This record gives sequence, structure tokens and C-alpha cells, in this order.
Amino acid sequence: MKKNKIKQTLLICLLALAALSCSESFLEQFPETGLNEGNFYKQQSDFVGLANGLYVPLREYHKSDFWLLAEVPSDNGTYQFNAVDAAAASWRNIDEIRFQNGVGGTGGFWIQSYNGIARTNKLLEEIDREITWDNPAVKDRTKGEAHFMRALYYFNLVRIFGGVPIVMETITYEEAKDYQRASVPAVYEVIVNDLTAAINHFQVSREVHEPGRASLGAAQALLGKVYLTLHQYAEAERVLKQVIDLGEYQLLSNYSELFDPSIKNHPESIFAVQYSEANRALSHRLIFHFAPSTSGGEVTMRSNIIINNSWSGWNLPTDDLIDAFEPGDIRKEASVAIWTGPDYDGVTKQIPYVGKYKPPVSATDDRTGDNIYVLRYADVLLMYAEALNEQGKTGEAIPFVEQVRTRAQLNEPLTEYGQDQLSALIAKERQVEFCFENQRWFDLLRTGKAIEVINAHGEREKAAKPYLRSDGFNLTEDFLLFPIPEDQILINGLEQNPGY
Amino acid sequence: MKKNLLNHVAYMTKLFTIAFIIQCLTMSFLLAWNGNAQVKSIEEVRVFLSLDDVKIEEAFEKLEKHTSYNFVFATREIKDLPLISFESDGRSLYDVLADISVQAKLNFKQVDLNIHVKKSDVDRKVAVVENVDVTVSGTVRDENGEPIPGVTVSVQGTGIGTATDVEGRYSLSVPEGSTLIFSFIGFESQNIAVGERSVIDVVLSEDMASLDEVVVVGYGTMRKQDVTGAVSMVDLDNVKDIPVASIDQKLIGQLPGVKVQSLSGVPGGGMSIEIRGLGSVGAGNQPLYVIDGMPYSSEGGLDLNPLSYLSPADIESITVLKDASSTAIYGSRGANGVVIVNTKSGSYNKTQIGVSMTTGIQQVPQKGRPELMNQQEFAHLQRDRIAALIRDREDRVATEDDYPIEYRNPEQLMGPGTDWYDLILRTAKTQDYNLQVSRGNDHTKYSLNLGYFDQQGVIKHTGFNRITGKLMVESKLGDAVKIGASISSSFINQNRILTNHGRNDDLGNAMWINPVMKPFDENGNIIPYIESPYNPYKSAFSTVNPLYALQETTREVDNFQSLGNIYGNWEIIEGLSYRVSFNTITENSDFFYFKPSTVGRENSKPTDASFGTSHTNKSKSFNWLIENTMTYDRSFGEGHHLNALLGYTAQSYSRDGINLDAAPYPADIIQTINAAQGITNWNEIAEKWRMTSYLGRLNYNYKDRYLLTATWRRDGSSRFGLYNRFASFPSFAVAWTASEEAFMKSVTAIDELKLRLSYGSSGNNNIGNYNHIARINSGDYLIGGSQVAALSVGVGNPYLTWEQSNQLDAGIDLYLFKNRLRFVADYYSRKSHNMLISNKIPAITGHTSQTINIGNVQNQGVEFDLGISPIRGEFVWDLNVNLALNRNKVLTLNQDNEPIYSGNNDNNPTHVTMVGKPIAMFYGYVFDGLVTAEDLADPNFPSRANARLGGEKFKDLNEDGIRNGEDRTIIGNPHEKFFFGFTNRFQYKGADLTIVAHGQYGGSVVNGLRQTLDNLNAHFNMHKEWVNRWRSPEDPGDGKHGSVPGQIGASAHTFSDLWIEDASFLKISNVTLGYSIPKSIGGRFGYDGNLRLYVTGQNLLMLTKYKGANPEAQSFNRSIDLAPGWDIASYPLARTLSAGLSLAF
Repeated sequence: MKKNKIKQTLLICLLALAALSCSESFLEQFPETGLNEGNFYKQQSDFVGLANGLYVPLREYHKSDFWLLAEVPSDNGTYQFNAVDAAAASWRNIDEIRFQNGVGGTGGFWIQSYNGIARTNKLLEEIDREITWDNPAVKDRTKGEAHFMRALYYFNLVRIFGGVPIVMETITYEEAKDYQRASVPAVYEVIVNDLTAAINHFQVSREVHEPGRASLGAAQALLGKVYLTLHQYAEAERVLKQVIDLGEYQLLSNYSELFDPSIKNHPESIFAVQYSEANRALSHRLIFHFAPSTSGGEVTMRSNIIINNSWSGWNLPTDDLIDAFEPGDIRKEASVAIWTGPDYDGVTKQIPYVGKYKPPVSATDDRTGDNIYVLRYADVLLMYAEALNEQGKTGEAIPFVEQVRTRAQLNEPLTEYGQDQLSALIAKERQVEFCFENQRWFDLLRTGKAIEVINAHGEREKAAKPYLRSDGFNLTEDFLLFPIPEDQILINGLEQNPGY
Repeated sequence: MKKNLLNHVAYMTKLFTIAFIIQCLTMSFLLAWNGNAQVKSIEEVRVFLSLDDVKIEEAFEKLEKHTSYNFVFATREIKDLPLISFESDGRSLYDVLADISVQAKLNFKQVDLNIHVKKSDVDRKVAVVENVDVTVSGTVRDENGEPIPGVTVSVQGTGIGTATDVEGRYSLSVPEGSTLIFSFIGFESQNIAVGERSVIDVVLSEDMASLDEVVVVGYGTMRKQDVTGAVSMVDLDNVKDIPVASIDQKLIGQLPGVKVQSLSGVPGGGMSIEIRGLGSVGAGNQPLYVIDGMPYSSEGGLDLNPLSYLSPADIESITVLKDASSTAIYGSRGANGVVIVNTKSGSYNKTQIGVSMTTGIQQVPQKGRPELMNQQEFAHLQRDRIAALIRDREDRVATEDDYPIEYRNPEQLMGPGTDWYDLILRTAKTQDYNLQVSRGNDHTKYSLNLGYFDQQGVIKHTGFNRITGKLMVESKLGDAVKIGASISSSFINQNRILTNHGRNDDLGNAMWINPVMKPFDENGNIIPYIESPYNPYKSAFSTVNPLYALQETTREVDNFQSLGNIYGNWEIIEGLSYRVSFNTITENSDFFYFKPSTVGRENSKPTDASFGTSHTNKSKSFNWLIENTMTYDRSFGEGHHLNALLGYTAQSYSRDGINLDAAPYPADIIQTINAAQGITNWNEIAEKWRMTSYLGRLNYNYKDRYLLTATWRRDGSSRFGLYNRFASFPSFAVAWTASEEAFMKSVTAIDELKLRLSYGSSGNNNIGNYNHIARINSGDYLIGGSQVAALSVGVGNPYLTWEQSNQLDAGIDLYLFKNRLRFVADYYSRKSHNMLISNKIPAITGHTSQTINIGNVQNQGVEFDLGISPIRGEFVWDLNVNLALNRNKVLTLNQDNEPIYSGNNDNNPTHVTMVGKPIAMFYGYVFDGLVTAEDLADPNFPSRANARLGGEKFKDLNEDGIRNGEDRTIIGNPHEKFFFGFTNRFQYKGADLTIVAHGQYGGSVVNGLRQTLDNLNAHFNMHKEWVNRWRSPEDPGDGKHGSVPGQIGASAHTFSDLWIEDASFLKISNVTLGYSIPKSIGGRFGYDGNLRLYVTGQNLLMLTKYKGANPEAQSFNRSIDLAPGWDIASYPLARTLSAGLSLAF
């Protein structure tokens, strides 16, 4: 009898233990009222939705402060001086090359870039789940987009900050502390690998391409730019040639149409950040930043929106840029607009401002919808020319430069140009062709001309503008890289760039 | 073992209860003894009966049937005896018994008609005791002179005995020269030689050592002497008559270290309990409640207290577990302490019917009511303000024509004007009825409880009522198995108004409306909207008549809750038992709010275009728990005692709710949603959590001197991230009962001395249900020119876990002078780790901030509990004092130890939590007197541009010449220095008087309403003190109340130390006078139950410097953890006087 009871006891213990075996799934609970990782990753549209999300951080930093890092420190953009407003000092320091810790604009750019990278990492981690794809090519397209976007985020990061932490998977805040800055070549290796992967995926998904997404041409063109930046001219020549041979792209006949908000994703646009006036999230308000602060609603055409001191009068064309346009270059009129009115000193002046970003078309408030180009065909042509010319193939390069100049109605043939001459011309062409398209600072870095050009530009600025401090415009090797945002140095334990 | 005096009376009651049981059991004695005139000898009685292999009980039963004798025996005496057989065809009973005596090794002894049975080593012994020639009778009483029923009176060396009746009387025939033994559980036995006496009255004294007081602990009970942790039981006797909605209201002032706050007087709500300080900034500090083994939510106690579902009359015991060694068994839910509530469940072999009725009235005490300016003073304020504006704007002196007609003759405005606050108050009734029926035989018991509680609010149109019903049944299946089930249901109806929110809420309005205006028109009809006289310069605010708002607006709660429980208990072998139980809580809640078109708001008078709106919230929840526990309890060897517990539990909770806003209602008559033109907002909530746990406890005790407890729990929770899904909570405790040591035995003054030490960890899992799971965030992007969904995966936290609290506790229990002095003290140090705090994280993760487990906070404190019994005997005085000090300190916060700002006043924080300081200190400006002409002339005077003569001035703490946000600092501490409670209890014969007082010393509270009203902008009526405002340099008032502002606005309601007041208070929270009708009187009217009459008063007196009504009050829309001590438009605490009676038979 006693034995029997022990048996029963054991049985109960076993039953109790059996109840435990299901406990792992018993404890797995997901919210029912919204999408979350517990009920997601089930269908093609989930992944397409994530792919659409990859572009969002790029859109965010282009509309907020990328121009501040890519144009303002260069000899293209400056700001409208206003003696009473001290709030914009950290931005003014960028223009005046008085970089220091806490310089404006870098924090948001860092955060958005890594947010974008995290999105690409997550997508690539989850996309191989066993689900049924309505069209398997969409899966390739999606992977291609993820590799392309990750490469683009790193490419902008490495050009602004130098070597940055390479994060290729989803990490937690604890793991993040173990990440240190990688070397510049290591970052470029990641970029080249990602773009190569993107090209492979895009090659099998061309028929499902949709305007606005990254594409085969975009990946090849970006890879070309990366090789050019690495001075690997033969490689650059090879991939840029592939873009040209795709036959998908051509220059718009009229340069000013490039900046018509109603014409988007045209044959010259290889990859552009997409904007629309439809709602606040989809729009930017660049013209409200770039209009002269004193212009009221005359430039923005929205007198109901007050443009105030700190946040407007930015990225004004410099005299250096204006002078760079050759006589007869139609690009000048499209790029540099003039508003005549009182400046802060009360004196009526002709104040130049960026003509490429337009006032709202239909939105009644400050929503504007111009796309912002990342890559367009003229860029490919000039990069291809540069790649050829740098290898001594100046003769082969000239027709591509001419192609771009012809559209600008500069029809003088370049047949006499030697290699150095052409090199200088390409640099000048790029300055005027792409002004305010976030290229100039990187072009100066790539060609190694930054210190020379900026310091010369600075002398001219200081001579013309008495309010500038004498310690400005002293670009040194250290300042070719921006400082890593200070809070990230603290939180992440990262090493700062030299000189800061 | 000595017992705590606090529990003394509770135990007396229990003793009586036990006595009744014993009396029932020993009824046979009485029957046998009574009615016996002539006793035949067993030798003369013939038996005609044959039995073959029967149990001895059966044999006795048969013999009882065939003869007139009764067999008297203890079950243990006849346990495990061999089966017996006999044949008797007319043999004498004596012979038969002699036969049985041989077979079963039993002794028989005849006393009258009883045959006493005892085990025997001798083969054969049948004794006939005949010479019954002395009858002794008397009464047995306790030291207080109360008769003790159920006392066993037996004759030494024989089986002769009886028991006292309900009046303590006994009568017994005994052999000459006998010695009587009077014994009763809980009392020292007495041996008395009968001698020649025929009346022997006895006074039994309590035997402290024999009382094995049982304490409820997690998953079981323990002898009090075995307890190693800091566990306090509430003496419900001190508070049983207080007519309140929920038991937590009865705990006020009763236990050291258990801070029970009345945050508001809302009927059915407004309570908070904090045990040993604040251990969390983000996950709540309320303890875990365990009702009959079922962990119970403590959320949402402000509007509706979850404990208000339980009828206090059904509560059997309340135990509070404080240190980690006792809370660790509740693992991830134990960090804030555990309150274990067990309900009554009837008894075996007993029938009891109890009825209680209480009714009372409640009123708002005068102290603490808003003391506002009278209408004349108010009119002067309006005039001053208008004059100041005219002076500044138009540079002229105001004339009478500038003032609204109502203020032109202030001298004619006599009397206080309308007391809007008083207008909405009433004398409210409260009533409480309870019926309890319980019945049990020796294998089944059941109990049925019914209750009805109704508390009208002291604010008109508010109230709370509750109907409760409980049925429980338990039955034994054979010797080893017990099964039982219970269902307990409550229906709650609550009529709410909006209070404790701000100036604008239903109560807030009534604290500032223009006193010149009237609530009723000449015909006595209510005026729905109170419009202050208009003036182009300044008008006091207009708003809805608060009485009208109360009358017309609906805010009704109809909730139903049911607790179910079914269990089985199986004693597998002696000492080893297995228990399985299944508990459920089902809840349906229903809230409906309707505001008709005619109810306006501050400066928003209803128009023809106004419309009614409604809000509906319906939700249901289901919570189940399965528990499997195995306990093993055994003594072995010399003085070793072992008690072990092992268990596995699984729990699941789900809730589903829907919120609907409907508007506009074209008419106000039909209020259901279908009368509305549409649903303007809707939302569904669905949530679940689940837990599985393993638990174990080991108690070891050597010779009652050395005690050791180890507990362990492992919780798995759906709330924890994947990498931390399971958490372990160990604890360890030792205790040394020094008084049990041989060398201490000689110290007679010391009844008990025990030293305790424990350390362990427990957790707080109130971290939200799904916070570790990454959400999919949605945004927009453009593809092909069309808007598409752009998704991203949010931040997940697979590490997310409980907040962990490690606590060290050292305690001493000292009982002296036959328990007349009882002293319990504890020191504790509790460190809470892994507090959930929003933290900056490296952006390379893709995210910038995340709520993670990072902060640490420490609570250290001491608790004292002192009981004194200065007088014992017929008159009894017991005094109990408890006191607790807690010191809270934030050790670390987030990554950068950035302070956490909390609270909101005009979009500025009011509290700050920073490292090195207690959680949530008041944060604001420091008042620096009023602006003088010299200040204005001083070019370095901070904020000169905004200064006005006589205006308020705040310190420029950082001395940068500008008075701005950087000049804020810590300006007060909402946490008290210590809090205390004391209970005096007097008894004389049947009368008893209990006085409970409690209070706190130190700590600050913000008089929130003054803060928002007192700004001299003349929008509102304000505190009378403002009559002493600055009027001119010659008439500067009291220096604290500034000048009426002109164009430069007043900054008086900038949050500063002006509004922080001392929250110290002493409150007589309860006085109860009761009288239990002695049996001797009741008996005369043929009533032999217990009848008790009592009157009780709550909230009778409060001594405090605080100018508001309730220094414990708290705004409901401010976190009690992060923005405590903010009293605004608080529902007043009523003073209650009630009378009641209880009947038990």
C-alpha cells in the first residue's frame, strides 16, 4: 500500500513536470492590437513595406541637415548675416570652417544614418524566412535595395566622419558598447561588397523595378562614385560604362526641367530622394531654409509662413560659385536666383539664393516636394570622364564632358584640352552642374583640393565680409573630417577624430 | 510561546470558538452525566449480541445500541486495534468487556453510564467505579472574570470528566478524595483537590507558552515562533467595527513600515499602500495582494480600489510580508511587499450564524475647507485689479463707472457670499449589512456570506455601493483527501465625479467661483452657468454651476467581479501532502460618462450649438492560476523539525476592452450611444500576460532555538525579454530564540527573545506587458509617385527584465514580564536594481533611447512595534505603538545620471529625481520676498523687465543676473521623516474602547489649488490670506502676498516654495466604543448568542499645520511615484459617526 502511494506521488510529480514542458511557448505573448515582430514577416508586402522604410532616414537627413555638411562648408554655400541672431552660431561655424566639438548638424546625420543601417540589417536578417513570395524577383529587388541603401548610408558616413563603426547586424544597446570605429578602408570594403551584392540582385529583378527605388543603374553609378573616391579609376570606368551601356538614362534637354517639381523620376534621374507636398512627413521645406530671411513670403510665395532668423537665409550662393559660371551658361539662371530687397542692415541689395528648390506648388503651408538628387546621369557622364581622364584617356573623356556642357549651351569644343586642363574643367563643371545637390564638399575631398580651394575662398570671403572673424577659414587636414557627435563618444565610448 | 498583545483579543475569540467545538465534542459527557438517576452495574446488564471480526468502534456502537451505556474514548486510544469478535447470548456486559479487553488490550472503567476506554499493557482490566458520592460544581473564569466555556474538568487518574457550559459552569460527580484537573487550551492547567468542598470556582490564567500562534505566510502557515522574517499580522479586532469600503482603510496606523495613505476620500477609492519606501521610479510601488492564494492586481486604486471588491466582513486575516525572506517566495512580484488576505471559511462540526449591521453618517469637517475671501473682499480684489490695469494701460485713475455694477458698493456686500464648496456637500449616509452562515459536520463544512455596503459620498451625487456573496464548501473524502471550492462575487456600483485633477474639475470649480454670484434664482431654480460680471479690463472667470454639473453629468461604474477557487488536498503519507488548486478572477467593468449639452466649462457657456457627449468603456478580464504544491512536515531525532515546500504554478491574465466616444447628441434625453450622431473616437485594448513559476522553501528548526529558512522561486514571465525570460529569487534567513537556551530559562522576566537576520531578493514585474517586443512602426514613402507604407522594426529589448530588490533585514523580538511588554524592531536595507528608466543608447543600434533596466535606489529604515499592557485583570488596558523611519536615496539613474524631471505645472516640472537624493523631490523657485522700489532701481536686479512693485521675487540662484529655469532647485521633500500609529484599547467587563491614531512627522505637501488660484489676476476667488496683500510701500501686507498686477502679469503661481507646506499630522483616525452583552443578561431574555453593540467614529480630529484638508492627498493625474505630495481639488475625507450591532449564535 505504501509503495502504491509513492508511485502515485511520483506520477503527480511527473504530471506537474509535464506541465512545464510547454512553458516556453506558454510565455510567448505578442500584442494583438498592432503590428509587432510576433505577427510580422508573414508575406511579401511585409518585406516590401520594410524596403520602403529603408529610404526614410535618408529622406529625413536630406531634408534637415545634409546640405549643411555637404554644401555649406564648401565654397558654394554661405549664409545671410544677421548681427542680432546668435542662435545659428554652430551652423555659421560650419561655413566659416571653425569646426569644433558640438558643431551643428552632425548629430542628426549620425543618428539617421545608423537608423537607416539598422533598417537594412534587420531586413536582410529576416528576409530569408520561409514565406511565399508572390514574385520571387521582388525578393531580389528588396535585397538589392537593402544592400544599396546600406552602402549609401556608409558611404556618406565615411566621407563625413572617416572610419565609423561597422554594424552589419541587429545589435542591442549592450552589444553596441563593444563596437569601435573601423578603419576607412574597412568601411569602403563593406560598401563595395554591398554594392556588388546589390548589383547582382538588381540584375535579376530589373523587370520589377519601380521609380523611386534603388535600381541596377543606381547601384552601378554609386559603385562608380565609390571607386572614383578610392581613386580606383579603371574599376570606376568599368562600372560607369555599364551604366551608360544600360541605355536607360539620358540627359534632359532642358537643364531647368531638372528642378521642376512636377517632373520627377525622369530619364536623367538615376536615384533621387522622393518628396511630395502630400503630407508633412513626405515633404521638406528647403526653400524656407534657403530663402533670404528678409524676403518674407516673396521667395517662398507663402507669406503666411514666417521665415525667421535662425532657420532661413542658408546655403546662399557665394561669389565664388556665381563667378564659376561661364558666360552664357544657362545653368546659372537655374541655380542662382536673385531676390532684391533689404538685407539685415536695411540696405536694399540683390541677394542671391538657391534657385533649384521651389516654393510649394499646391500646399498652402511650408510643405515642398522637390526630389533631391543623389545620382543623375550628368554625374555619371562627368564621373566617367574623370575616370578616363585620370587614367590619361583624355581624348576618350572629352565627348562626355562636352555632352554635359552642350546642354548648358556651352558649345565650344574641348578638343585642345590636355589632361590637367580637362581635370580642372571637370571639377569646375561639377561645381556648377551640381551646386546645392550635396556634391561639392565631397568633390573637393575626393580631388584633394579642399584645403587649397576653401582657404582661398576664405580669404576672399574675409576680405568682402567685415563681420567674419580672422580665425575662420583655416581648413587643415584634421578638419576634412567632421567630429563624431560628442554624445555618441560618451555613450558609445568611441574615439574622436584628431583635432577635436 | 508568548503572543503579541496586539493579537491577544483575537486569540481570545479564537479560544472561545475552540471551546465551542470542544463542547460539542464532549456533549456525550454532559448527556451521560445528566439524567442519570440510577445506574446499573455493568455486571447486571445482559448482552445479546454476536460480532465477528468487526472494528472496535463498531463494537462500541452496537453495544451502545443494545445497552444504555456510552463509550467514552479518544480516537487515538483505539487506533490500529485488531478486529474483534465475541458471542454473547446473555452474558453480562462486564464479561463481554473483559473479553474485548483481552482481544484489544484495552482497559474499561465504568463511571455512571459512561464506559471509559483506555489503552492498556495489561491483558485484562475492567473496573467498575461505583462509589459516586460527591457532586462538585462551580464556574471557571479567566483572569478578566469572563466565564470560559468548554473547559475540560476531569478527575485525576480516572476517565471521569465533563466540560463547562457557555456560562463556564460545570457539575460533576466524583469519587471522594479526588483531585480535579481543569484544563483548557491556551490556559495553564490547574489541579485542585476536592476535599470536602462541593463548590469549586476556578480562575484559569493564560498559558502564554502554550499558544501556538499561527501566522499566515506565502503558500502556507507557520507557527509564529518559527517565523524568521519580518511578518506582521493585523489585529482585526482593533478595526473590525470601522465601516469602510475596503480593508486597506482599516490598516491605517496598524503596522510599522506599512504606509497606508488616504489619497482622497472618494467612496470606493483613493487608497495607496507603500511598504518600506519607494523602490521604483517607473514600475509602481504598490504591494502584491494575495487573496486566498490568488495574486491580485493592485492597479488603479485611485478611482476604484481593487480591494473594494472584497467585503471587509469576510476577512479572516491580513498578513503583511515585508522582508525579502518572506517575500521572495512571491518572486518577481514581491519587491514592494506582499499583503496576504484570507477570507473566512467556516468550521467543521460547528454551526454559526452571524449578522452585523452598521449605519452611520458622514460629514466634511470644517478644518481644511477652503477659506476664501468673502464677497466684499472679493469685490475689492476685482476693483483693485481693474484699477491697476486702467492705471497701466490708460494712465488714469479708475472711476466707479469702470467697475461692474455688482462691485460698485462693496460695503453693501455683507456676509461671506455664496459658499460654493458647501453647496455641493451633504451629510451622507453609510450602511453595511452582513450575514454569515456556516455549518459543518465532521466531514463537510460550508459557509455562505452575503453583504451589502452602501456609502453615499459627502459630495452630492456621488457614492459607492456593493453587493457581495460568497459560498464555500469543503469536504473530506476519507481520511487523507480534502476537496473544496468557493465562489465569491461582487457587484459594484460607483457614481463618480472628477476630483483630484485640478482647478477645472467638478470639485475644483467649487473652490474658486465668484462668491458674489448666486447658485439659485429668485424662484429657487438652479442657475446652470455662473457668469461673473463682465468688464473690458478684467473679469473673474465664469464657469458651470458645480452643483448643476454634478446633477446633470453621469460618471457611473458598474463592475462585476468573481473569484473562483477549487482545490484538493491529499495527505499522501503522514507529514507529506500534496495540494492542487485552481483559482480564477473574472471581471467585467463598465464605465459610462455623459455630459449633456447644458453643462458648460470654464469660460465656455453652453450655446444652442452645444451638444452632449458620451464616453463608454467596457472591458472584461479573466485571470487563472494553477498551483501544485507539495509540503513535507516532520520532526525527527532529538528536537529536529523540518518543513519543506515545493511547488509549480502557472498563471495567465487576459483583458479586452473597448473605448467609445460618441457625439454629438442632438438631445440630452436619450444617452445611449445610438442616440449620438456618431462615434468620434474608438479604441480597443487587448492584453495578456503569463507566468510560470517554481518555488521551494525549507524551514528547519532545532529545539526551537535555531531556526533557518531558505526560499527560492523561479519565475518565467511573458513580460520579460527573451534573454531574461526566467528569473530566480533566493532568500535565506536565520533566527536564534535565545530565550529557549537553558541559561536564559532562569531569567523569568524574559518570555521570549529572538534575533532574526535575513537576506534575499525579490522583484517588481510591473514593467508593462509587451515592452520587450519590437513593434513595427509605420511611416510613409513615395514609390512611383504614390504614397506607400514605409515600415521599420522598432527597438526590442530581449534583456528587459524585472526590477530587482535585494533586502537585508535584522530584527529582534522581545517579550517581557509575562507578555506585558512586547517589543519588535527591525532594521532593513533594501537596494533596488535594474529600475526601468528611459535611457540614451548608442545610436549605432539604430535607436537613440530605450527604456531599460538601469537605475538603482536604496531604502534604509527601522521599524518599531511596541506593545504595553499596563493594566490587566478586570480592567484591561493595552497600548500598541508603532513607528517607522525610511530613508530613500537614488544611487544611479540612466547613462549620464541625468535627473528625471516629472510632474507638470504650466508645462514646467514640479519634481526632480536625482542621484544622491530621494526619489521625486519638489523642484522649483525659491521665494525671495516682494519687489521693492530699490530692487527696481538696481540695474543688476534679475528679470527687471518683468518686475513690478510689490510683485513676487524669486532667488537668482545661479547669480547670472537672469531669473530663468536654471534658478530652480530642490525646494522640498515629499517623504516623511517617520510615520507612526498607536492603538489604545480598554476593556472593562463587556465594554471596550479602542482609539486608533496615526500620523507622520516631516515631509511636505503642495497645496496645489492655492498654487493654481493664488495669482491676483482676479480670475478666481482665493485664500483669505490675500486680504493681507501688498497694497503700497506703506502698506506692504505680510510680505508674502504680492501686489495686484497691472499690465505686468503676476508670477505668484510660478511653482515655488511658497506653496509647499509641512505635511506633518496627527490624526485620531478611529474611536470605537463597544459593549458585548454578557451571557447572564442575554440569557434572561432567552438569547444565548453573542450580541455586541458599538458606536464608532472615524477621522475625528486632525492636528496639522497644513492649510488644506488632507496632507496625504494626491492628484490623480500625477504619478504618485514621480510626482507625489500634490493635493489639488481632493475629494474630502469625511468624518463618520456610526453605530452598529453584531450578533453571533
